[in-house]
Parts: sequence; C-alpha cells; structure tokens
Amino acid sequence: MNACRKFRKRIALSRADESNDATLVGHLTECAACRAYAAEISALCDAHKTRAAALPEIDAPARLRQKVASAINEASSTPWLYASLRKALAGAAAAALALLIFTFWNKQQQAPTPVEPASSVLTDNTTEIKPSYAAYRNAFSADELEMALDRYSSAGADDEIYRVGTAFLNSQ
Amino acid sequence: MFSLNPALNAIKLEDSTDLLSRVQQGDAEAFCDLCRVYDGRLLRQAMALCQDASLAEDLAQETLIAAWKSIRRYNGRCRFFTWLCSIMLHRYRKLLRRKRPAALTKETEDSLLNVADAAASPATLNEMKEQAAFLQKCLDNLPHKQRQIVYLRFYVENSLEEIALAVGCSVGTVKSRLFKALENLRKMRALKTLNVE
Repeated sequence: MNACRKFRKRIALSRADESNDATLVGHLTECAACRAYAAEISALCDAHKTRAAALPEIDAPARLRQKVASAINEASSTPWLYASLRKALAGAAAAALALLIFTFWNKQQQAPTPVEPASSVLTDNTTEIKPSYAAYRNAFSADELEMALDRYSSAGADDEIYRVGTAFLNSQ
Repeated sequence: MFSLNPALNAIKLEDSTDLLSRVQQGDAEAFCDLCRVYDGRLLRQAMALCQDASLAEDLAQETLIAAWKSIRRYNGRCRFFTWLCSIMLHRYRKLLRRKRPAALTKETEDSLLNVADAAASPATLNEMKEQAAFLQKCLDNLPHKQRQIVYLRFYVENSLEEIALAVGCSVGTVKSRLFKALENLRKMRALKTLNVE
C-alpha cells in the first residue's frame, strides 16, 4: 500500500500531463487499486477538458472594446511623471511610517526599566519591624535600615536587638 | 486611440509579437489592436470562470486594463495569452472574495445550450449544465494557487513548463500543486457521488 502511495502522484501527473510513464504500466497491470485511481483521475481530467472544449466561441462585444479603449486612453493621458510621483509619494509614506515605528521601538528600548518599589519586594511579615537584628539586616529599603540603626543606637543592654547587634559586630 | 479598422480582424496571433513590442513602448493604439486579437478568447475563459455574461465581461475588461498597466512586467517568457489568463485569475480571486458568482443566469444557460448538440435531449442538456456548474464549483473551492494551475492546464491548455514560467515557480512546484488540486477535486467528486447515492 505504501508503494502505491508513491505511485499516486506519478499516476495523477501522467494523466493530467498526458505523458507516458513506462514504469507505471507494470505497476498498473498488477495493482487494481491504482488502476481504479488512474481511471478516476482520467475521468476528472477528461471532464475538465471536455468542458473547456465545449466553451462557446464568443466575439467580444464592441462595448467591451470601447470600455477598455477609453480606460486605456484615460490612463495614457496621465503623464508618466504623475505616475512616478505617485510611486515616489507612496514610497516616502512607507519610509516615514517605517521611521516612526523604528523611533517608537528605539524609545521603548532606551527607556529605563522601572524600579520595583521596595515595599513590593518585601512580604507583609518583613515590613513589620521585628526586634531582631537579623531581620533588620534583611531590610531592603533605606528607611527600614535607618529605623533599625536608630533602634540599635537607642537600645538598652537587655534589649534583644542590642545583644544580637553587638554579637554581630564582634563577629566582624 | 481605439481603432475600428476592420482590417485588424485579419490580425493573426503570430503578428502579435510586433504589436507587443510597440505596446511595451507605451503605444495605446497598439494595445487596443492587441486586445482585438485576444479579447474573444479571454472573454470565453472569463465565461468559464464566472458563468455569468456580465460578470465575465467585467472580468475581461478589468484584466485587459490591468494588463495595460503592467505591460512592462511582461517578459515574454510565456505566451501572452497565458500571461493574460494569470492576471485574470488574480482578478477572479478578488471577485470571489467580494462575492460568490451568481448561479447560472438565463444568458449563461442559453450560451450553454448553444454549444450543446442540437439533437441532445433536454435531460442530456440539463445533465451537461449541472456537470459544468459542479466542475466550476469544485474549481472555486480550490485554494487559489491550485485553481490557477488546474485552470491553466485544462482550460488554457498550457504545458507544465509554460505554467511554471507564467506563475513564476519551478516545474516541481507546479507538479506538486497540480497533484494536490487533483486529489482535492477527486475528493469533492467522491463526496458528490456519496450525496447522490
């Protein structure tokens, strides 16, 4: 069956092109399915050819010739310069549009990446100041850091932040 | 200017080479003379596509005007009539997009009756008309590129090499499109047979 698939295109083209493909003959004598396919394609091609042959001979009416002639004369009366100008204008418009698009794109490329606000980086838990120096070390904004330092400087000896902060400073 | 000189009726296709070279230099009168050589055949082909006399006339007119506008692009590698037909197919494609051609009109029926055998029975004539309408419907349902190849092969009777030159692709591509088109047409035909049964 796979072999037949390979033959199908050749069968169809040989019928449509009315060419003789000698290698097909051998296959067609052996394969009934391909013979049926060939007959089907032949009938299809013949139907279109018969229809084409049966088309009536038509004399173009005078009005068609008159219409074409007047349209052509009208087009011919248009100076070539005008046609060239129209082409040039179309080209200029296209170039302007391309420039506009490029400028917009370039502007988009050069615009600084918007900085994400620190508050959005911090989770709800971290925005709340905890009495732990370790937590303050993770502060992402300058305000939070400042608050942490203020608290450390004013913390008493028994304050957790003082103990943690001192231990940290000693370890440095 | 348009010439109504009856002597031009005697223009043979072989003479059109000289006309063509004049046309390509911008000679409008020569183009009108060239139109007289091809407009009948072109209208006949348009009739095959549109199946409507007035639509066919409009299509032929649009084709000839478009041909005049782009005559400088004709490179002489394919027959002039083939080139005209490929323009017509592009125009027809636009027509199909705008609206589907009307069903067979009375005028078309008459023209089909004229070509039929006078001795044929009404039943045979009906069958012929139905067959023609069905074939055209199948063609209309094909993708444009496939329709173009089938039309140029069976209706304009071009060889595959000529079609390749007219369409601007390789013979291999033409073969591939023709095969796909025939497969599609075969399936449509099979579907119709199933519906009838």
